[in-house]
Amino acid sequence: MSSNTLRASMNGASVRHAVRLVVGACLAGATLTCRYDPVPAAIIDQLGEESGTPSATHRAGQPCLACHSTYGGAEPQMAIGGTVFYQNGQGQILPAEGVLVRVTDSENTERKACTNATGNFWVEEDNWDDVAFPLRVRAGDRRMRGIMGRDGSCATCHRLPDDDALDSITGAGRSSAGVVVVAESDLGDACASSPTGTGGAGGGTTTTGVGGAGGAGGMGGAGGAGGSATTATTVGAGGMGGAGGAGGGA
Amino acid sequence: MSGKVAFVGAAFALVLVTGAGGGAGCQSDLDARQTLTCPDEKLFRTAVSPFIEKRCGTLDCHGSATQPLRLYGELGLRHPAEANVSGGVETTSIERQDNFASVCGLEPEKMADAVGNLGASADQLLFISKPRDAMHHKGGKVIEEGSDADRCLTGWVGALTPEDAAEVNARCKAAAEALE
Repeated sequence: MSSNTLRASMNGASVRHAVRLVVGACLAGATLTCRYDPVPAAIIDQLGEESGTPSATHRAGQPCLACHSTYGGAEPQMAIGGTVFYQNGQGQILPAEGVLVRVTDSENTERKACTNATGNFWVEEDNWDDVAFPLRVRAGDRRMRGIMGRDGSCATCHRLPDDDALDSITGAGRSSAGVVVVAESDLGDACASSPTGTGGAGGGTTTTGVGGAGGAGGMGGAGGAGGSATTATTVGAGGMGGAGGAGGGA
Repeated sequence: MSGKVAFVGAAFALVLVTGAGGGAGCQSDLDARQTLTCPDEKLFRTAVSPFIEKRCGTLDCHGSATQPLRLYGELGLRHPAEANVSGGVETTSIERQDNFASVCGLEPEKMADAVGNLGASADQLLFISKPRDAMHHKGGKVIEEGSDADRCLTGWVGALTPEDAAEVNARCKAAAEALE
Protein backbone atom coordinates (compact mmCIF):
# COMPACT_ATOMS: atom_id res chain seq x y z
CA MET A 1 0.00 0.00 0.00
CA SER A 2 1.52 3.34 -1.01
CA SER A 3 1.60 6.27 1.39
CA ASN A 4 -0.94 8.17 -0.75
CA THR A 5 -3.31 5.22 -0.76
CA LEU A 6 -2.88 4.83 2.98
CA ARG A 7 -3.56 8.55 3.55
CA ALA A 8 -6.65 8.41 1.35
CA SER A 9 -7.85 5.34 3.16
CA MET A 10 -7.29 6.97 6.54
CA ASN A 11 -9.02 10.12 5.38
CA GLY A 12 -11.96 8.08 4.25
CA ALA A 13 -12.09 6.26 7.56
CA SER A 14 -11.81 9.53 9.44
CA VAL A 15 -14.63 11.06 7.46
CA ARG A 16 -16.84 8.05 8.04
CA HIS A 17 -15.98 8.14 11.73
CA ALA A 18 -16.76 11.85 11.89
CA VAL A 19 -20.06 11.31 10.13
CA ARG A 20 -20.96 8.58 12.61
CA LEU A 21 -20.08 10.87 15.49
CA VAL A 22 -22.15 13.73 14.12
CA VAL A 23 -25.15 11.52 13.38
CA GLY A 24 -24.86 9.88 16.78
CA ALA A 25 -24.65 13.23 18.52
CA CYS A 26 -27.67 14.50 16.62
CA LEU A 27 -29.73 11.46 17.49
CA ALA A 28 -28.69 11.64 21.14
CA GLY A 29 -29.43 15.34 21.21
CA ALA A 30 -32.80 14.83 19.63
CA THR A 31 -33.64 12.12 22.12
CA LEU A 32 -32.57 14.16 25.11
CA THR A 33 -33.71 17.64 24.21
CA CYS A 34 -35.78 17.82 21.07
CA ARG A 35 -39.50 17.28 21.58
CA TYR A 36 -40.49 19.50 18.73
CA ASP A 37 -44.00 18.86 17.55
CA PRO A 38 -45.31 21.61 15.26
CA VAL A 39 -48.93 21.47 16.42
CA PRO A 40 -48.48 22.10 20.17
CA ALA A 41 -45.47 24.28 19.43
CA ALA A 42 -47.63 26.59 17.32
CA ILE A 43 -50.29 26.71 20.05
CA ILE A 44 -47.70 27.67 22.66
CA ASP A 45 -46.21 30.31 20.36
CA GLN A 46 -49.63 31.91 19.93
CA LEU A 47 -50.16 32.28 23.66
CA GLY A 48 -47.85 35.25 23.92
CA GLU A 49 -45.43 36.29 26.63
CA GLU A 50 -46.13 35.77 30.29
CA SER A 51 -47.22 38.93 32.03
CA GLY A 52 -46.00 38.81 35.59
CA THR A 53 -45.19 35.68 37.48
CA PRO A 54 -46.67 32.33 36.49
CA SER A 55 -49.25 31.36 39.07
CA ALA A 56 -52.54 29.59 39.53
CA THR A 57 -54.34 32.69 38.32
CA HIS A 58 -52.32 33.31 35.21
CA ARG A 59 -53.33 33.05 31.56
CA ALA A 60 -57.07 32.75 32.22
CA GLY A 61 -58.91 31.50 29.17
CA GLN A 62 -55.86 29.99 27.51
CA PRO A 63 -55.46 26.26 26.84
CA CYS A 64 -53.82 25.04 30.04
CA LEU A 65 -52.50 21.75 28.74
CA ALA A 66 -50.53 23.36 25.96
CA CYS A 67 -47.89 23.94 28.63
CA HIS A 68 -49.09 21.94 31.64
CA SER A 69 -48.49 18.64 29.91
CA THR A 70 -45.76 16.18 29.18
CA TYR A 71 -44.98 18.09 26.02
CA GLY A 72 -45.09 21.58 27.52
CA GLY A 73 -43.28 20.54 30.68
CA ALA A 74 -44.83 23.18 32.99
CA GLU A 75 -45.79 22.11 36.51
CA PRO A 76 -48.25 21.00 37.64
CA GLN A 77 -49.06 18.74 34.74
CA MET A 78 -52.81 18.57 34.29
CA ALA A 79 -55.41 16.08 33.17
CA ILE A 80 -58.02 18.81 32.74
CA GLY A 81 -57.82 22.56 32.97
CA GLY A 82 -59.95 25.52 32.06
CA THR A 83 -61.47 28.85 32.96
CA VAL A 84 -65.04 29.72 33.83
CA PHE A 85 -66.67 33.12 33.38
CA TYR A 86 -69.99 34.75 34.13
CA GLN A 87 -71.83 37.66 32.55
CA ASN A 88 -72.77 40.50 34.85
CA GLY A 89 -75.77 42.77 34.57
CA GLN A 90 -73.91 45.08 32.23
CA GLY A 91 -73.19 42.22 29.86
CA GLN A 92 -69.51 42.04 30.73
CA ILE A 93 -67.75 38.68 30.81
CA LEU A 94 -65.88 38.34 34.10
CA PRO A 95 -63.97 35.57 35.89
CA ALA A 96 -66.27 33.29 37.86
CA GLU A 97 -64.76 32.48 41.23
CA GLY A 98 -65.87 29.64 43.45
CA VAL A 99 -67.72 27.65 40.82
CA LEU A 100 -67.84 23.92 41.33
CA VAL A 101 -66.78 22.06 38.21
CA ARG A 102 -67.54 18.35 37.91
CA VAL A 103 -65.86 16.25 35.26
CA THR A 104 -66.97 12.69 34.58
CA ASP A 105 -65.06 10.33 32.34
CA SER A 106 -66.31 7.41 30.27
CA GLU A 107 -65.66 5.02 33.17
CA ASN A 108 -68.00 7.16 35.28
CA THR A 109 -65.12 8.34 37.44
CA GLU A 110 -65.59 11.89 38.61
CA ARG A 111 -63.28 14.67 39.69
CA LYS A 112 -64.31 18.00 41.10
CA ALA A 113 -62.55 21.32 41.13
CA CYS A 114 -63.34 24.84 42.19
CA THR A 115 -62.50 27.91 40.20
CA ASN A 116 -60.12 30.47 41.67
CA ALA A 117 -60.05 34.25 41.49
CA THR A 118 -59.50 34.34 37.75
CA GLY A 119 -61.93 31.54 37.05
CA ASN A 120 -59.18 28.97 36.54
CA PHE A 121 -59.59 25.38 37.65
CA TRP A 122 -57.75 22.18 36.98
CA VAL A 123 -57.27 18.56 37.90
CA GLU A 124 -53.69 17.43 38.10
CA GLU A 125 -52.56 14.54 36.00
CA ASP A 126 -51.24 12.78 39.12
CA ASN A 127 -54.79 12.84 40.42
CA TRP A 128 -56.28 11.41 37.22
CA ASP A 129 -53.60 9.65 35.25
CA ASP A 130 -56.08 7.11 33.93
CA VAL A 131 -58.72 9.56 32.78
CA ALA A 132 -60.79 7.90 30.07
CA PHE A 133 -62.10 10.17 27.34
CA PRO A 134 -64.68 11.24 26.35
CA LEU A 135 -65.59 13.44 29.30
CA ARG A 136 -68.77 15.12 30.40
CA VAL A 137 -68.55 18.40 32.25
CA ARG A 138 -70.81 20.44 34.49
CA ALA A 139 -69.82 23.91 35.70
CA GLY A 140 -72.13 25.14 38.41
CA ASP A 141 -75.64 24.36 37.23
CA ARG A 142 -74.66 24.42 33.60
CA ARG A 143 -74.09 21.13 31.85
CA MET A 144 -71.94 20.94 28.75
CA ARG A 145 -74.13 19.69 25.90
CA GLY A 146 -71.36 17.94 24.07
CA ILE A 147 -68.41 15.90 25.21
CA MET A 148 -64.71 16.56 25.53
CA GLY A 149 -63.31 14.27 22.87
CA ARG A 150 -59.65 14.01 23.67
CA ASP A 151 -58.19 17.36 24.73
CA GLY A 152 -58.07 18.27 28.42
CA SER A 153 -57.84 21.99 27.76
CA CYS A 154 -61.29 23.56 27.81
CA ALA A 155 -59.95 26.53 25.88
CA THR A 156 -59.08 24.39 22.87
CA CYS A 157 -62.76 24.57 22.00
CA HIS A 158 -63.91 27.41 24.29
CA ARG A 159 -61.63 30.11 22.96
CA LEU A 160 -61.44 33.71 24.07
CA PRO A 161 -62.87 36.17 21.53
CA ASP A 162 -60.62 36.45 18.50
CA ASP A 163 -60.82 37.56 14.88
CA ASP A 164 -62.87 34.50 13.93
CA ALA A 165 -65.53 35.11 16.56
CA LEU A 166 -69.08 35.75 15.41
CA ASP A 167 -70.12 36.65 18.94
CA SER A 168 -67.67 39.27 20.15
CA ILE A 169 -68.83 38.92 23.77
CA THR A 170 -68.30 35.19 24.32
CA GLY A 171 -66.00 34.51 21.38
CA ALA A 172 -68.31 31.90 19.87
CA GLY A 173 -67.71 31.26 16.20
CA ARG A 174 -67.53 28.55 13.59
CA SER A 175 -64.64 26.82 15.35
CA SER A 176 -65.20 27.95 18.92
CA ALA A 177 -68.01 27.46 21.37
CA GLY A 178 -66.98 30.69 23.08
CA VAL A 179 -65.84 30.93 26.66
CA VAL A 180 -67.59 28.92 29.36
CA VAL A 181 -70.22 31.19 30.91
CA VAL A 182 -72.18 30.22 34.01
CA ALA A 183 -74.98 31.99 35.82
CA GLU A 184 -74.08 34.56 38.42
CA SER A 185 -75.91 32.44 40.97
CA ASP A 186 -73.29 29.71 40.51
CA LEU A 187 -70.58 31.87 42.01
CA GLY A 188 -69.18 31.58 45.45
CA ASP A 189 -71.03 29.28 47.73
CA ALA A 190 -71.11 26.00 45.85
CA CYS A 191 -67.53 25.15 46.65
CA ALA A 192 -67.81 26.28 50.25
CA SER A 193 -70.67 23.87 50.87
CA SER A 194 -69.20 21.09 48.82
CA PRO A 195 -67.95 17.94 50.54
CA THR A 196 -64.79 18.37 48.53
CA GLY A 197 -63.63 21.17 50.78
CA THR A 198 -63.12 24.77 49.91
CA GLY A 199 -60.44 26.93 48.53
CA GLY A 200 -60.98 29.30 51.40
CA ALA A 201 -59.07 32.48 51.91
CA GLY A 202 -56.69 31.94 49.08
CA GLY A 203 -59.49 31.65 46.61
CA GLY A 204 -57.87 28.39 45.83
CA THR A 205 -58.74 25.57 43.58
CA THR A 206 -59.69 22.34 45.22
CA THR A 207 -59.18 19.15 43.40
CA THR A 208 -60.28 15.97 44.98
CA GLY A 209 -60.32 12.32 44.45
CA VAL A 210 -63.80 10.91 44.58
CA GLY A 211 -64.41 8.37 47.23
CA GLY A 212 -60.83 7.34 47.18
CA ALA A 213 -57.62 7.99 48.92
CA GLY A 214 -57.21 11.64 49.84
CA GLY A 215 -57.37 14.19 47.09
CA ALA A 216 -54.03 14.53 45.46
CA GLY A 217 -54.42 18.01 44.22
CA GLY A 218 -55.71 20.30 46.92
CA MET A 219 -54.41 23.67 45.87
CA GLY A 220 -54.00 26.91 47.58
CA GLY A 221 -56.96 26.74 49.85
CA ALA A 222 -56.81 27.18 53.57
CA GLY A 223 -56.84 24.23 55.86
CA GLY A 224 -58.51 20.99 55.07
CA ALA A 225 -57.17 17.52 55.35
CA GLY A 226 -55.87 15.05 52.89
CA GLY A 227 -54.48 17.37 50.25
CA SER A 228 -51.05 17.17 48.83
CA ALA A 229 -48.78 19.48 50.76
CA THR A 230 -46.27 19.51 47.97
CA THR A 231 -48.80 20.68 45.46
CA ALA A 232 -50.24 23.28 47.78
CA THR A 233 -46.82 24.66 48.50
CA THR A 234 -45.99 24.90 44.85
CA VAL A 235 -49.15 26.77 44.04
CA GLY A 236 -48.87 28.98 47.08
CA ALA A 237 -45.42 30.01 45.99
CA GLY A 238 -46.85 30.88 42.64
CA GLY A 239 -49.05 33.52 44.12
CA MET A 240 -52.17 31.87 45.48
CA GLY A 241 -50.96 32.12 49.04
CA GLY A 242 -52.97 29.18 50.28
CA ALA A 243 -51.81 27.02 53.12
CA GLY A 244 -52.29 23.33 53.02
CA GLY A 245 -54.28 21.18 50.70
CA ALA A 246 -58.00 21.27 50.83
CA GLY A 247 -60.11 18.28 51.60
CA GLY A 248 -59.58 15.00 49.93
CA GLY A 249 -62.07 12.60 48.60
CA ALA A 250 -62.28 10.48 51.69
CA MET B 1 -14.91 10.83 -5.06
CA SER B 2 -16.19 8.83 -7.98
CA GLY B 3 -18.60 7.07 -5.66
CA LYS B 4 -20.02 10.40 -4.56
CA VAL B 5 -20.41 11.55 -8.15
CA ALA B 6 -22.11 8.31 -9.04
CA PHE B 7 -24.50 8.70 -6.07
CA VAL B 8 -25.36 12.28 -6.98
CA GLY B 9 -25.82 11.26 -10.58
CA ALA B 10 -28.14 8.44 -9.61
CA ALA B 11 -30.14 10.73 -7.36
CA PHE B 12 -30.47 13.33 -10.14
CA ALA B 13 -31.60 10.67 -12.57
CA LEU B 14 -34.15 9.47 -10.05
CA VAL B 15 -35.51 12.98 -9.67
CA LEU B 16 -35.80 13.30 -13.45
CA VAL B 17 -37.55 9.97 -13.81
CA THR B 18 -39.91 10.75 -10.93
CA GLY B 19 -40.69 14.18 -12.31
CA ALA B 20 -41.34 12.86 -15.78
CA GLY B 21 -43.51 10.04 -14.46
CA GLY B 22 -45.45 12.40 -12.23
CA GLY B 23 -45.97 14.85 -15.06
CA ALA B 24 -47.15 12.20 -17.46
CA GLY B 25 -49.45 10.68 -14.81
CA CYS B 26 -51.06 14.01 -13.92
CA GLN B 27 -51.53 14.97 -17.55
CA SER B 28 -53.44 11.82 -18.36
CA ASP B 29 -55.55 12.08 -15.19
CA LEU B 30 -56.62 15.68 -15.55
CA ASP B 31 -60.00 14.91 -17.04
CA ALA B 32 -60.46 11.50 -15.50
CA ARG B 33 -63.76 10.78 -13.83
CA GLN B 34 -64.83 7.68 -12.05
CA THR B 35 -68.24 6.96 -10.65
CA LEU B 36 -68.18 5.06 -7.40
CA THR B 37 -70.98 3.87 -5.18
CA CYS B 38 -71.49 5.27 -1.71
CA PRO B 39 -73.76 3.90 0.99
CA ASP B 40 -77.23 5.39 1.42
CA GLU B 41 -77.00 9.18 1.82
CA LYS B 42 -80.42 9.62 3.34
CA LEU B 43 -79.67 7.03 6.01
CA PHE B 44 -76.39 8.75 6.69
CA ARG B 45 -78.08 12.11 7.15
CA THR B 46 -80.78 10.84 9.48
CA ALA B 47 -78.90 8.23 11.48
CA VAL B 48 -75.13 8.08 11.08
CA SER B 49 -74.24 11.74 10.92
CA PRO B 50 -76.07 12.73 14.12
CA PHE B 51 -74.07 10.09 15.98
CA ILE B 52 -70.63 10.81 14.55
CA GLU B 53 -71.19 14.54 14.93
CA LYS B 54 -71.55 13.97 18.66
CA ARG B 55 -68.91 11.31 19.14
CA CYS B 56 -66.27 12.23 16.59
CA GLY B 57 -67.03 15.79 15.52
CA THR B 58 -66.07 17.71 18.65
CA LEU B 59 -63.83 20.69 18.08
CA ASP B 60 -60.88 18.88 19.64
CA CYS B 61 -61.22 15.89 17.30
CA HIS B 62 -62.69 15.68 13.81
CA GLY B 63 -64.53 18.97 14.17
CA SER B 64 -61.41 20.68 13.04
CA ALA B 65 -60.45 22.15 9.71
CA THR B 66 -57.02 20.53 10.05
CA GLN B 67 -58.32 16.98 10.41
CA PRO B 68 -58.28 14.58 7.45
CA LEU B 69 -61.84 13.46 8.13
CA ARG B 70 -63.57 16.78 8.66
CA LEU B 71 -66.97 16.75 10.29
CA TYR B 72 -69.37 19.64 10.79
CA GLY B 73 -72.12 19.81 13.35
CA GLU B 74 -74.18 21.70 15.88
CA LEU B 75 -71.73 21.14 18.74
CA GLY B 76 -68.57 21.18 16.67
CA LEU B 77 -67.20 22.92 13.61
CA ARG B 78 -69.65 25.00 11.59
CA HIS B 79 -69.71 25.25 7.84
CA PRO B 80 -67.73 28.15 6.34
CA ALA B 81 -70.58 28.99 3.95
CA GLU B 82 -72.94 29.67 6.84
CA ALA B 83 -72.77 32.03 9.81
CA ASN B 84 -73.58 29.62 12.62
CA VAL B 85 -71.61 29.21 15.82
CA SER B 86 -70.52 26.05 17.57
CA GLY B 87 -73.24 25.21 20.06
CA GLY B 88 -75.80 27.23 18.10
CA VAL B 89 -78.46 26.06 15.67
CA GLU B 90 -78.93 22.44 14.69
CA THR B 91 -76.69 20.83 12.11
CA THR B 92 -77.68 22.12 8.68
CA SER B 93 -78.32 20.30 5.44
CA ILE B 94 -75.12 21.52 3.83
CA GLU B 95 -73.16 20.32 6.84
CA ARG B 96 -74.68 16.84 6.63
CA GLN B 97 -73.99 16.82 2.91
CA ASP B 98 -70.32 17.62 3.49
CA ASN B 99 -70.06 15.09 6.29
CA PHE B 100 -71.32 12.49 3.84
CA ALA B 101 -68.72 13.58 1.31
CA SER B 102 -65.99 13.40 3.95
CA VAL B 103 -66.88 9.88 4.98
CA CYS B 104 -67.59 8.42 1.57
CA GLY B 105 -64.67 10.22 -0.02
CA LEU B 106 -62.17 9.04 2.54
CA GLU B 107 -61.44 5.82 0.64
CA PRO B 108 -63.89 5.89 -2.24
CA GLU B 109 -62.80 2.69 -3.97
CA LYS B 110 -62.73 0.67 -0.77
CA MET B 111 -66.05 2.12 0.25
CA ALA B 112 -67.58 1.14 -3.08
CA ASP B 113 -66.23 -2.36 -2.63
CA ALA B 114 -67.72 -2.57 0.86
CA VAL B 115 -71.09 -1.40 -0.42
CA GLY B 116 -70.88 -3.97 -3.21
CA ASN B 117 -70.24 -6.83 -0.83
CA LEU B 118 -72.94 -5.64 1.61
CA GLY B 119 -70.49 -4.59 4.26
CA ALA B 120 -68.40 -7.76 4.33
CA SER B 121 -65.22 -5.73 3.93
CA ALA B 122 -66.36 -2.78 6.03
CA ASP B 123 -63.80 -3.57 8.70
CA GLN B 124 -61.09 -2.77 6.16
CA LEU B 125 -62.23 0.83 5.94
CA LEU B 126 -60.41 3.53 7.91
CA PHE B 127 -63.88 4.74 8.86
CA ILE B 128 -64.32 1.52 10.83
CA SER B 129 -60.80 0.38 11.70
CA LYS B 130 -59.67 3.73 13.12
CA PRO B 131 -62.40 4.17 15.74
CA ARG B 132 -62.01 0.50 16.63
CA ASP B 133 -58.30 1.28 17.06
CA ALA B 134 -57.52 -1.69 14.86
CA MET B 135 -55.44 0.85 13.01
CA HIS B 136 -53.64 3.52 15.02
CA HIS B 137 -56.05 6.29 15.95
CA LYS B 138 -54.89 9.38 17.80
CA GLY B 139 -58.18 9.45 19.66
CA GLY B 140 -57.68 5.83 20.72
CA LYS B 141 -60.40 3.23 20.75
CA VAL B 142 -63.69 5.06 20.58
CA ILE B 143 -66.03 2.24 19.62
CA GLU B 144 -66.16 -1.38 20.66
CA GLU B 145 -66.67 -3.97 17.99
CA GLY B 146 -70.26 -5.13 18.10
CA SER B 147 -71.50 -2.17 20.12
CA ASP B 148 -74.41 0.02 19.04
CA ALA B 149 -71.93 2.57 17.73
CA ASP B 150 -70.04 -0.06 15.74
CA ARG B 151 -73.21 -1.53 14.30
CA CYS B 152 -74.41 1.94 13.42
CA LEU B 153 -71.35 2.48 11.22
CA THR B 154 -70.87 -0.99 9.78
CA GLY B 155 -74.59 -1.48 9.31
CA TRP B 156 -74.85 1.68 7.26
CA VAL B 157 -72.10 0.56 4.90
CA GLY B 158 -73.87 -2.71 4.18
CA ALA B 159 -77.48 -1.58 4.48
CA LEU B 160 -79.65 -2.72 1.58
CA THR B 161 -83.21 -3.27 2.75
CA PRO B 162 -85.67 -1.14 4.75
CA GLU B 163 -85.15 -3.58 7.62
CA ASP B 164 -81.42 -2.90 7.48
CA ALA B 165 -82.09 0.82 7.55
CA ALA B 166 -84.39 0.48 10.55
CA GLU B 167 -81.70 -1.47 12.38
CA VAL B 168 -79.09 1.16 11.58
CA ASN B 169 -81.44 3.90 12.75
CA ALA B 170 -82.01 2.15 16.05
CA ARG B 171 -78.31 1.46 16.64
CA CYS B 172 -77.23 4.99 15.79
CA LYS B 173 -79.94 6.48 17.96
CA ALA B 174 -78.92 4.31 20.92
CA ALA B 175 -75.26 5.18 20.42
CA ALA B 176 -76.03 8.88 20.29
CA GLU B 177 -78.28 8.75 23.34
CA ALA B 178 -75.50 7.09 25.31
CA LEU B 179 -73.56 10.32 24.90
CA GLU B 180 -76.30 12.47 26.42
